[in-house]
Amino acid sequence: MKKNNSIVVQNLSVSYKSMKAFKIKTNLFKMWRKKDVFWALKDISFEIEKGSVVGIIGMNGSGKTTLLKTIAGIFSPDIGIVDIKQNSVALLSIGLGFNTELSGYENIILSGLLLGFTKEQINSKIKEIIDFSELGDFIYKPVKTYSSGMHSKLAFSITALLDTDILLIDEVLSVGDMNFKEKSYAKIKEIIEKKDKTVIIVSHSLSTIEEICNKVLWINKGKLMEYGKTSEVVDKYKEFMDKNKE
Amino acid sequence: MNRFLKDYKKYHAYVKYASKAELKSEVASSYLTWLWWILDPLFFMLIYTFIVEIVFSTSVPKLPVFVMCGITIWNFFNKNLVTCVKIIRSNRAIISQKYIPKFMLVVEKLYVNSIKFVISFMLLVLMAILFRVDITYNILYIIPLVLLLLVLSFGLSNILAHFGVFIEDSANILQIILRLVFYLSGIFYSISDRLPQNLANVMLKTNPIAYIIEDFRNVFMYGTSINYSLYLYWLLISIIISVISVKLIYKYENSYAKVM
Repeated sequence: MKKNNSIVVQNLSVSYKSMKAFKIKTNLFKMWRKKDVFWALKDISFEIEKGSVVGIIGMNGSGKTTLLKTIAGIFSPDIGIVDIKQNSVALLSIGLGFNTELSGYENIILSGLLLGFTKEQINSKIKEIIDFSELGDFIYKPVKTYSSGMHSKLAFSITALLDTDILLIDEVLSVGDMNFKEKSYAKIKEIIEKKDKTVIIVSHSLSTIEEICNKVLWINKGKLMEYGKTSEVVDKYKEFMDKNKE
Repeated sequence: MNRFLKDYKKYHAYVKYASKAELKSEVASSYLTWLWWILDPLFFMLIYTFIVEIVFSTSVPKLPVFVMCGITIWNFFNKNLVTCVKIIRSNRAIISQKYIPKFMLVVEKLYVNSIKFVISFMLLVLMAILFRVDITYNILYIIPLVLLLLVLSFGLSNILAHFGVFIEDSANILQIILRLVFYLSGIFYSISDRLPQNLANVMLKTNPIAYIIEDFRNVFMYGTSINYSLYLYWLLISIIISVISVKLIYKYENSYAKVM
């Protein structure tokens, strides 16, 4: 069988350089204050086949979010290559991504345009997105008036319903109230079942990972520890975590 | 260069929609809505006219039109620079989630401010009719002048956007510099009439806004042609600044998200 990869990562390293004027609030950065250069990812290589669902596990600050952001093209690699083969990619994570002065409706269109869709494509989906988000008339109000739950619902709806080739999910499987949580979980599963869609999930919930991923990538302190079948890697990870406790 | 054109095309739909949405929300969030786009230049014109005519008691024929020319150009330039120095920060939410070439954020501001520029320009034309300014075919020279203003604003705004990320107080520094440039640009006085020849020449060669305003008035109010050598000189410099600024942004834009 011909190998059909949708993401190829080779010898990837990403660093954060310390500059005094910077105000960096992400968790990742809290630990490197003393050093000048912090390598969030060190020499990571892997390939992800088209249509597979990959989970990323690791402790806080091990570089999971950095890896997703690099695949999404928000960070550039300092060393190495990330090749996503002309696929469109969307990152779904907790937090914003909206222009808060504008209405939710306008933000749907703007997000879609940034993800590389045409206005026609977005318009054909927009009703579905609004319905899924359960925002009702709030969709025409500025995003700054939204509660954080509404915010996340909208973000989830946009990313989940617009069909990108690669979907990166950063710990957002528990968005909104109980009902929405179940609905979004079902939606994720529906997306995953599509054959040609590649999904990468970062989660601390090992049960979720075990349930939906075919492969797992475990990184620790920026280094790739294991990459392989879900059950094997998760077992090794659990073992490692137990050892660390002692 | 190819990458620039490709990205420009690719993200143009976003920029277009974003600038429309921004204008709309601006209209929606103030009582006098779009009237501000007229009132703002109008009031500043009245203030400067008052200062020149009453306080300094000098008189320039058709002074309100004269001042309005300067304000129209200055407002466009000033607004672009002031917003773009903070543009990466103010779009932080979007930048940390999706990739967009950062100069397209600057282009979006250019669009928004261009609409206001057009409104201010229409006001200027109205005033010109009111004050019986003889408008000749030379008015067409306004097109290359506006083009120069666009290229210049694009390049400088990109550079400011870049440094605005790394230097927290660049907005304060910019305010001071812009205030100085404002007084040196001949917005309510004529550089070539009021200053000795040598000094005027130096100013027109070191301050692009002074040059643009000067020639804009020549073309619009006095029906003369533009100063070709100065025009080409500034166009060349502006293009060089723009090219450098785009390269600068391509090189560093992916570290902007790490800084914030």
